[in-house]
Amino acid sequence: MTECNEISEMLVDYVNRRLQKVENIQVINHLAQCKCCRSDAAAYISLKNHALESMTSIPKDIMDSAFNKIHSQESALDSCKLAYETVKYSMLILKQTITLVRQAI
Amino acid sequence: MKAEKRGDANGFYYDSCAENTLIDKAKKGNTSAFEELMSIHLKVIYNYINSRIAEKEDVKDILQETMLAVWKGIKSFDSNSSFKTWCFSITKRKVADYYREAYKNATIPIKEVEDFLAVEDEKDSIDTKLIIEKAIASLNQTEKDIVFFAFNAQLSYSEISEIISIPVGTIKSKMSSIKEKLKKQLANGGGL
Repeated sequence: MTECNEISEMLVDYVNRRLQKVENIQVINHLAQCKCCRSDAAAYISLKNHALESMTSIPKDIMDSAFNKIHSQESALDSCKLAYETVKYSMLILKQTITLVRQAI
Repeated sequence: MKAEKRGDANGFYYDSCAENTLIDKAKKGNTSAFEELMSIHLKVIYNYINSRIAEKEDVKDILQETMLAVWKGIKSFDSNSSFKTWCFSITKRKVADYYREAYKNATIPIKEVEDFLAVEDEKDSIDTKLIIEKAIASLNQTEKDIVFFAFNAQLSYSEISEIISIPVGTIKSKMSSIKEKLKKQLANGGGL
């Protein structure tokens, strides 16, 4: 029974093939002799098969638009950077103009 | 360096080294690397959102919101934990936000309500596939999430625990109870 409890905790990883080799062999050996755990494993395999069958591909329009909000944000950020640089440059020109005007006066 | 893709049909990705390279590039603001990185996980993320939300336009919007949130948060992502788990935590939060908003506005149809699997007198209920679908449909949302993250996303108990904020021991016992429910329904030919 203790072994069943131990194996039971590994069954989901077993059906998902996430176990290390040693654990995998341990589970297989146990399943070979335990009808109850075999039935548990069968239930998990049914769930896994159902899960994989129910996975659908992403429709093209959803796939194509998945990163749209990131692109919009990045593009807005680029526009802000450009606007900042333009203002900074204009201020520099203005400052130089003021200096020249002061010198002329 | 172009990352080598070794994911299976469901988009699972096993080359953590290449994944880390993409994460590092994305952290530096490289959107192409980010898109390549996310394309690995996009199918499972999409399927989770699609399983929770009925309206196609809303699924599209939540997927975009999720991508944006992952993009915004990637700089603070701690590479010591699993990127996939972290992405699912964000996805689950975005879906929860959607339902919070839906509850406030009370206008958005909830997929579970429309689920044809809830129909008791389904003609083919003897069919095993349908029995499994009915068994899953009869689960509460937390149990459905556990099944999704365990079998669709193929995460470990500890990763699931991280995403849905329930102790590992509780996840294990819930999984065991889900399995017992399924076995019972399979034995009864689908009857509850």
